[in-house]
Amino acid sequence: MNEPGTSRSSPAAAGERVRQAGAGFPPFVVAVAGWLLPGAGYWLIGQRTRGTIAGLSILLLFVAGIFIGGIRVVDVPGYAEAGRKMIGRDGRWLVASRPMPTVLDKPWYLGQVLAGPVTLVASYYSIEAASREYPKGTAHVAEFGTLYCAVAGMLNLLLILDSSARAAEGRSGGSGPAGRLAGM
Amino acid sequence: MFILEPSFLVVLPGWVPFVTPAPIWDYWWLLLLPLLAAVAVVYKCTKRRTAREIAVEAAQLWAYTVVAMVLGAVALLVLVRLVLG
Repeated sequence: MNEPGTSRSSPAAAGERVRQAGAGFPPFVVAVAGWLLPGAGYWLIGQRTRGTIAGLSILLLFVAGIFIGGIRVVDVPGYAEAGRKMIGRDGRWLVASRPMPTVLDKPWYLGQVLAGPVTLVASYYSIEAASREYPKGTAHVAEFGTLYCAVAGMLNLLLILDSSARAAEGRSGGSGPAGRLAGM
Repeated sequence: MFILEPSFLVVLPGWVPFVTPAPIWDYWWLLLLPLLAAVAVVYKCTKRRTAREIAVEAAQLWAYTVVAMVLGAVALLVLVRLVLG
């Protein structure tokens, strides 16, 4: 119950609600939820408007990237042009035997995979399209598609960090910077 | 998992949405605008709480960013023209 004279819509009350809601979930859980579904981290700490708008924006950006650039904008490390696994001299898949150079060979994927499991689904279909010899786009449009998906992932990283920081501040009483932001 | 069979998706000759790049060869630079809008919205989502605040401030940020990029492009164009004569 509110005390007389206090408003539930005041920033202080809003911040308190966030702190109470965030107190139930460890920051790690909030971060994982944010990766699994963009914006879900905010939902867990009770900031549903923020989570919905930000999450939908990220998913829309990711899907728009594939729409304009084609599914092959998601270029999966360790797979050759025809969608076959790249095997090293030792007979093992390159991602297993030389993970760093193989992943860094397609650095956009690092940003894209931050968008969550939607990237993994897109990866499956990208490999499928490659095996059916749909070529990668080479024009600016395809570059923008790659950029859209990678920026979507990096924006999701921003949300993951922000929501988990708010969750941490909620558990610690909200005295730090994220706790002050929680009232916003 | 269903297998990728995109033939029913063909809406223009040579373009299969979600499979091949969209045929917007001459206007690719316009794709910057929705990208900037998404960045502005998500950034403002981390700063503001209500949908109205997010919408207003994201629109402002988007406009500032577009203007700044246009000014930057003009400055670079002038610089290139000066260097190349």
